[in-house]
Amino acid sequence: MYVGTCPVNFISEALKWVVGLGMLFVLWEVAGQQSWLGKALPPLSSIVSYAMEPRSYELLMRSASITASNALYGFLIGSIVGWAIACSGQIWPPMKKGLDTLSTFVNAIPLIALGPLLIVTVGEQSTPMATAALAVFFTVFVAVLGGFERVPSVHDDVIRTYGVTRWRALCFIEFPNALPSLIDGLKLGASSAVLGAILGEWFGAPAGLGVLIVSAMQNFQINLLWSAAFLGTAMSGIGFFVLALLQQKLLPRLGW
Amino acid sequence: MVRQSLSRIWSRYWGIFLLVGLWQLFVSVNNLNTIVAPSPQAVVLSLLNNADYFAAEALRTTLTASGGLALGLLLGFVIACLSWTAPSLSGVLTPMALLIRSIPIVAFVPIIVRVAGYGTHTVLIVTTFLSFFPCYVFALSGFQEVAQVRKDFCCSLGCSTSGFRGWRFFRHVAMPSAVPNILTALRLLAPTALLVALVAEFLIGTDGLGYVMIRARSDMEMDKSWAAALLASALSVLFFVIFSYLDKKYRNNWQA
Repeated sequence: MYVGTCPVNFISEALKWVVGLGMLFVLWEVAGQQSWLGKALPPLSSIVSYAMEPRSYELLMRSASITASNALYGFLIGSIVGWAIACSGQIWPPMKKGLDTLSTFVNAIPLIALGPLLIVTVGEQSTPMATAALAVFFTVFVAVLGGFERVPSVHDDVIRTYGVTRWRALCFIEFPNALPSLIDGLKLGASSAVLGAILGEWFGAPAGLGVLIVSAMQNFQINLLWSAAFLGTAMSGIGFFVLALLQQKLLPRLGW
Repeated sequence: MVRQSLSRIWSRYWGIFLLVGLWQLFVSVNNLNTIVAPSPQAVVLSLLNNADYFAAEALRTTLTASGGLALGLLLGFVIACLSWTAPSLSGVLTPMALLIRSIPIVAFVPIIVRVAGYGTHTVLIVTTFLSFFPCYVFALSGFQEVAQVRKDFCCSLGCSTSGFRGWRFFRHVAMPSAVPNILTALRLLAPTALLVALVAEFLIGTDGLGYVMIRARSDMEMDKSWAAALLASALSVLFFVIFSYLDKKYRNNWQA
């Protein structure tokens, strides 16, 4: 509920966040110190101090950079593919229905079920990239399609009266109209990409946060497990933040 | 008549036929044996030969996934009701819900497994945990999005529209207007709940389709592993179709 942009409202909103998160952290610290949930929930402070130790810090950063590059490449590939599929349906309408069904179907396949297939087809090394791409492509596809549907009907009429070719209509009318929606999709895709990359690394990838998470789980290295999971979260948060910034700065310049 | 329906099927499902065709081509051109990549027939045959086994495991996975979804929905709904009567609760919970939404949940499955132990109950906890926050957010925003006209109407009849005294307003106006939101939440969550249940089974390794996938792979029974993956995908598509149908059918009955 945003009633105008008066500062009092903003401050109370921020206060709620601070109180909410503060309570969560305090509860956590206490639960960890008293070990309410056993050894698996360590206090927040011990996780942080563990992650700051030089040896574990280096390990975490090395794994995180591998996962980040997997997620980034997957994100790029996935968004380009999602965008291309949506556009090709627009250029050649007879294909549209089949492409919709195919995309929905591929999206509905649980990523974990695709693991065995991807190891054989693209290899263990590139499986994380492929799963990240698969996780991203559908959100982008749906976002772009949604954007196409939001083209004002006046524009549609103009296109039809002047007999504009589909290709040009796509370039000059439909795609610019779909841009805000595309960026929305990319924003959602950022966290899916990290998720996909971590999941893909469970299928025998040599290194990365996913590998770290599974091995830490099996070897009961609780601090390592939590730090790795937090790093993954931070990564998807950063991706989301960067794209949100882009949305705020870039879109007004393009007239949105 | 027949030709018409055939061409309709073709225009809708050509992508899927293409996918199966490519799979068959990939297997026969590279002359792969079953241990590397089974052909479509081999997978279907293995599915049919072990029909009882697969049906039991699929049923188990479906039950845990939908049980978790139902529990999460119930919990989210009840807490959203409480938040509606006591807004300070929503102030504390909403930031938490938004934060958790941006977490790559799969990265946290190993942690939940570590905390809750290895077993089917953990799969249930994981799916409940996953579905709780989105259900909470969607239900609460549904309660709050009551049309102003209705609020004004109730006010003019002397019916309180907030707090404990407004329970009749809540029961007859706010709750029904949240139904479309809840349906949307379910549609979005259903395939994810299945994915997370599979991931949890994959990691815990006691039973369910996720476990069959990894077990058969380590036994070099690739046809079985792929059959489980195919079955999981089919289930996920089914979940998606059912909840989309419910959403489409009942959305208009309850439109606020």
